[in-house]
Amino acid sequence: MASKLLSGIGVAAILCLVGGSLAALAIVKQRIRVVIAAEEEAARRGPDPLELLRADLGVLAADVSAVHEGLGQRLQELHDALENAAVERDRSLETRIATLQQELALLRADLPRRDGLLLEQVRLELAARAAEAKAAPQAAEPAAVAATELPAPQAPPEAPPAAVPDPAASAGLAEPKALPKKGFLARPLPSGTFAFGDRQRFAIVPALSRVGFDAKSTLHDFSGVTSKVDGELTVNLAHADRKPAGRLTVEAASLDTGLAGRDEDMRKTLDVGVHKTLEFEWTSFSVAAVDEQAQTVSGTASGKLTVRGKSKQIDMPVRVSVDASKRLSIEGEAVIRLQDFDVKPPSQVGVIKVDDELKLWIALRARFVGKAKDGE
Amino acid sequence: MNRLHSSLAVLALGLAGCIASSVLEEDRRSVAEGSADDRATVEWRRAEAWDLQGLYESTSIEGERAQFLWKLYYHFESAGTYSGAALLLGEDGPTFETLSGTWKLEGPDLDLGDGAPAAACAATDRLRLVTADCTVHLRRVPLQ
Repeated sequence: MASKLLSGIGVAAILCLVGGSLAALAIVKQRIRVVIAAEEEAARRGPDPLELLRADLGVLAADVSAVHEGLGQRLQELHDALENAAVERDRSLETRIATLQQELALLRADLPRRDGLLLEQVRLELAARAAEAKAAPQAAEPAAVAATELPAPQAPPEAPPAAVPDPAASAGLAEPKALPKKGFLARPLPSGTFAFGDRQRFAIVPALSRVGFDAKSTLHDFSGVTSKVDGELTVNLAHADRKPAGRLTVEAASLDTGLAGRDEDMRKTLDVGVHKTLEFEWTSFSVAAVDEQAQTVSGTASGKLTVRGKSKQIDMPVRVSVDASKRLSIEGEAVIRLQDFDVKPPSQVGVIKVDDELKLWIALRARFVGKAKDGE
Repeated sequence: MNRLHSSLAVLALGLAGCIASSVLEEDRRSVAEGSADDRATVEWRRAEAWDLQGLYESTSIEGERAQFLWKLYYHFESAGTYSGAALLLGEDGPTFETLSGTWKLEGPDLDLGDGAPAAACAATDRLRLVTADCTVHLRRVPLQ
């Protein structure tokens, strides 16, 4: 019974499925239309938009690729340029820093001297004010008061432009300025200057030197003087006895006794037309005293004196000192006999006679000209 | 003849008593520092701008700097510029060196553009510059 019932249900279900399928086919059949277009129709309708779209996309892709490539090159170039600029800037900054450090070092080195200069200027100003106050009785105020009431400096009629470099500006990041060239009065003293204990060369300064003699005669005593001297010497002042050397030349015709007639006689006596110079060649020194603190030396200079072509060894006690300008001041005298040099003492009518003995003296200044080289 | 000599000798002795000795005193043998102008009594005053015009030549340089600064010339322009020449002792001997720049007076100080001013005083046709290590006397030289 049950099997019959199930069979019946199955048959009914199959019938239902077949019926449904047919109904569905009938409905869909009216909605679907399959057309196969002919080539002419396709040509009439134009290119396939999808193809066009694909082609456009291809072109776009190529363009994008080209842009990417170009952009990459440009970016690389930009990168390189920035890199180079950074290196250049670093170099410039390093140079500027080095310049600033040099300026700073110079300023630091110059600071003590400028302080000293400032003090010296203040001192000079005070001294000048004090002198003015003393000179003007009506304005006889104490120097200190005058100093505190210094009038403001008057502007010159044509005020010159500012010349002092601005340290703040030079220390800034502006274009680095060239360091001002130190003036003749401001630059540091060179290292190779005068030193008492060094073997050095000196040159006679004629404008500050004199050589002469003091003579006695039956009429009256007189001196003959000249500044026409030249010469040089090499010596270590601390050890003046160690191989000193030097020479002094005097223009014989320039000796002046203050009387023209006597000068003329003297020139004849010395035969200045032939023997134009009197010469002294310094060969040794016997030290009596050396004071390095006071920078003085005394002793006896020995050497060969040549007068009228005749030479003779003489000894001359001398004193040597060093002045504020580091020049040697050399003073000395020695007695000589004219006949030792084959010079006949001048005589007038056999009555007015010049003594055979006369005192030869020197008052020389010698300027430092450098350290002695090896062998000098 | 002997009487003549005797008479002349007596005359000479008489004259010797009348004519003073012309021996130079020992303390006057040495030459004084600086020129005669420098040693003369000069009324120095603070230098003004109009003093700094024309050519100046040093007549003396004293002080430690003088050992290598031998001679100095400055030519000042009223517009505030200058040109200078100095005979300087170097390792190869004395040589001239030149320098140009601007000058400025600030009170008593003359700044030659290197930031190291010198105290400047003036008198007629003369100039004196004083620094910590030297004193320079200069004389105005007429340009021809």
